[in-house]
Amino acid sequence: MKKSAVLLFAVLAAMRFFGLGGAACVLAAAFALYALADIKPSTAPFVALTVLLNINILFSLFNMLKVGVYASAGLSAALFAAAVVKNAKDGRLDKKAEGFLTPSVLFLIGASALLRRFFAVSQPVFSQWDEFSFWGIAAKLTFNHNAIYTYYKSSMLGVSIPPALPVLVYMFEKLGFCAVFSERQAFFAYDFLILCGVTAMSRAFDAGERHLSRLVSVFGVAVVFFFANTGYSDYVSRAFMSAYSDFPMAFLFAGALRVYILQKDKGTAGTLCAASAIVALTFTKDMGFALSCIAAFILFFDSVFDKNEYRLFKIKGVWAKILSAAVMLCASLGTFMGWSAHLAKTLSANRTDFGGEAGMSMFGMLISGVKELLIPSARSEKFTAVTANMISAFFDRRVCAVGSGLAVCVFIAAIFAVAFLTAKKQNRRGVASAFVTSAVGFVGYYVFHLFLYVYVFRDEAYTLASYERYMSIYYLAWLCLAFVVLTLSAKEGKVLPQTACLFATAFVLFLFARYVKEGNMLFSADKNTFSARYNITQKTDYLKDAIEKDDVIWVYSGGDSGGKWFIYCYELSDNYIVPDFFAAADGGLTDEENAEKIQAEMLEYFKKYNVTNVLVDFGSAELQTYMGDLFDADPGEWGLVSAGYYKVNYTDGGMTVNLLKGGTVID
Amino acid sequence: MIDRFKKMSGRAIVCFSALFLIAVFLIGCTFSLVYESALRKRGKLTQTVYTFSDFEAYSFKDGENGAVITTDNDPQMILEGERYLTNIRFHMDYTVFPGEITMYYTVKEGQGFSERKRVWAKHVRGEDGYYEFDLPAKKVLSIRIDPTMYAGNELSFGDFVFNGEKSAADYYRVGYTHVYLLIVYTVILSACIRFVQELFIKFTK
Repeated sequence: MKKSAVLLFAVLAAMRFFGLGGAACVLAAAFALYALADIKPSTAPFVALTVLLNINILFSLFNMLKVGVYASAGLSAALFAAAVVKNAKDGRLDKKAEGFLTPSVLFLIGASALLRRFFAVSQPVFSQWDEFSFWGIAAKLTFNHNAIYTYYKSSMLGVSIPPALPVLVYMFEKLGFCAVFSERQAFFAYDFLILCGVTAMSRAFDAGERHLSRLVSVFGVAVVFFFANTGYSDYVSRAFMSAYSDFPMAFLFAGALRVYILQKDKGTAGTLCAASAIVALTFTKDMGFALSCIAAFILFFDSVFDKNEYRLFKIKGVWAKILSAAVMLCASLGTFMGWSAHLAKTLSANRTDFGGEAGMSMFGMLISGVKELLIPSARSEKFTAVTANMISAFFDRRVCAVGSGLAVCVFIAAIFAVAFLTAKKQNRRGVASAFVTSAVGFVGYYVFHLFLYVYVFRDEAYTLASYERYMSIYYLAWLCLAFVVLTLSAKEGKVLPQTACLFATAFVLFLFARYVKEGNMLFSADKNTFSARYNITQKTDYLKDAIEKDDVIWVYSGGDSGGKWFIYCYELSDNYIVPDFFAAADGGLTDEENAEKIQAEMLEYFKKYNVTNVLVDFGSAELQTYMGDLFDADPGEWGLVSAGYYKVNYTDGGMTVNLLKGGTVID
Repeated sequence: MIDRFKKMSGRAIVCFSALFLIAVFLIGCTFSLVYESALRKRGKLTQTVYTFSDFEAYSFKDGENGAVITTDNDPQMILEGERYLTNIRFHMDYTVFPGEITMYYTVKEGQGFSERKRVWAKHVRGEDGYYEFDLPAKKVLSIRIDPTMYAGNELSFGDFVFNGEKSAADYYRVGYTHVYLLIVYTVILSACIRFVQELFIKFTK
């Protein structure tokens, strides 16, 4: 066995040994895909990851997640062994290993090792709101229960969100031998998915012009920061230290496009690879379904303008192209309906009901939205106001380091223009098709978000809450698509498109350097970065010997807008944390009368949820004034460095709240 | 020379890039050492010691035993006065992790504090509770220190030593961040050099 094969084995073994078992499993499967099915090395890790992820999701739907992870790892190992044996017999093992270890795959391995080491030193933790409201807590619960969250009761909201990312984290936690849930392993799982997507961007340079591969990898990584930082920030950027779904969705969407467009055989191989990514994308979030439909739309027209022989299994020509689009659409729709059926079975929930302010189903929302869009006289005041805000936001609101949506579109159009001008004549229609269909897709995506804001969001619709996050998904994928199309021209050896690749990378890096100062950088993260989180962790650690598994807890934190509530839900994920209780004092009553009123409401609320305990994170004057006489120990004294845990005792017609444990949590 | 450049292997390019970046780092450190030494010799960069009471403090109230307690999430300590500044070292005890400790500075009249002129505090390695702000020596007109991000945090400060004497080794200190950045920038630089190499090869064929 010669050195390339030895190197490959050594790398996989080292990754397994150093807690990167999930990554090693994906790379082993990727090698098998390359060696046995001729999937190109740069796209193979991404395809392997989506296939393994989809297998695990399928097992999870039948409450066999743990079995699924080990089965998929076994499958990966078996395929790897089969690839090694077959190629060793044919005397091609070393050549295959050398062919697999392209600059982009080596970049993937190196970046994974660097990130893993960095996380071991800096020990980042979840620190953002939605990591506690869903993404992080879903992963933690899935790990602790060895099952997705539809199979047990918890205080987590949003249980109808599909499970791709929690299952991805579970895969990496289990294959990484994590005895307890590791938040940094969760970050790594997400980052590995992103890095696989970045690796796929270099496919054009697997065979020739390999020197550009590293440049593309740099662009792919930098573009994450490009969209994570819209300007100067006081805080450390959470890029690559986040459990939010936005960037994984963007890379799954972009990846579906890449693995199709970059396959030599766009028919069978391209369709199946794209379909695998589309399934994973649809399983990530409801918006994934919309993005999957857009992906199928873009890829259909790409196939229409592809002059090469097109074959899907044994079908050729235009029917093969139509069938290819149908396969992708069915993959998406089937996934969407499958998850809906699962929710109906496990939670008796109707997933197509968006709820929200209008309380309508998804189809109802689409019908109402299209009607109001096309008939101005039918528009509500909210629709008119939100539409105006969405239009002005496209021009005014910064969505990335280069500026507004308009600026991003200009950047993307410029890249497409260079790709068009430098492409071979027979490929120009394909480039134009990619641009036009992705632009049409963007309009559809934008309009869909208009409908979401109008019919689902409440007051926050007027301020277009999380606009930057939602739009960055499409912009990032679109920019990566443009860059990949440019690389197809660059791989021909022409100087102009290659220089354009360099300039685009330099532009992104320049803006990165401008806005992301050393203190903002990933590598500057330390305990102070996560201090708000550590404060609550200290309190829960202090109180944990007083908290029992079946306690149903009301958490009070004076002045909290909800962020701390979600962190407590996460920290006390074994317990049920009741939704927060709100009671307003009546200005026309005295303090004693208000206290009587609020305590009566509180009693009714507590009885409704069978509250057994109260945790006071931060007291307040209102708590002391209106509820204080229920407590045997003053709840108002708890503050930044202290907390109290109480037992609720129901008496005839009332209740008392008695201290179990309380004090200063800092030594 | 161009022929040698065209023949450089990928490994040579990576090594060159890494060594180049290390050289840039060392030159930068040496420049800082020389420049600051010159400023000190000319009496422009002087060590000065301040206490908390020398600052205009906002959103603090008195605590016990000389400690102060923050009253909102944006406490600020401002010190006006033109001076050359390269380093501030101070000791701070706190009741909870303070969050991100930052220092803002202005260099022009009428300029407000902004995130464009800001330095993050770093722990002083090996000295518990000591922080420092480090920046290339420059003339500043005012500074603002935000010692914590949280209300209710009880802080006890030691002296604020401005422009403390540094040993030569202090200018060349390397931390984890430098190592990670060396790896990342080596990848970027070597990719760009390799690109240029290919351009030369193509144009001189």
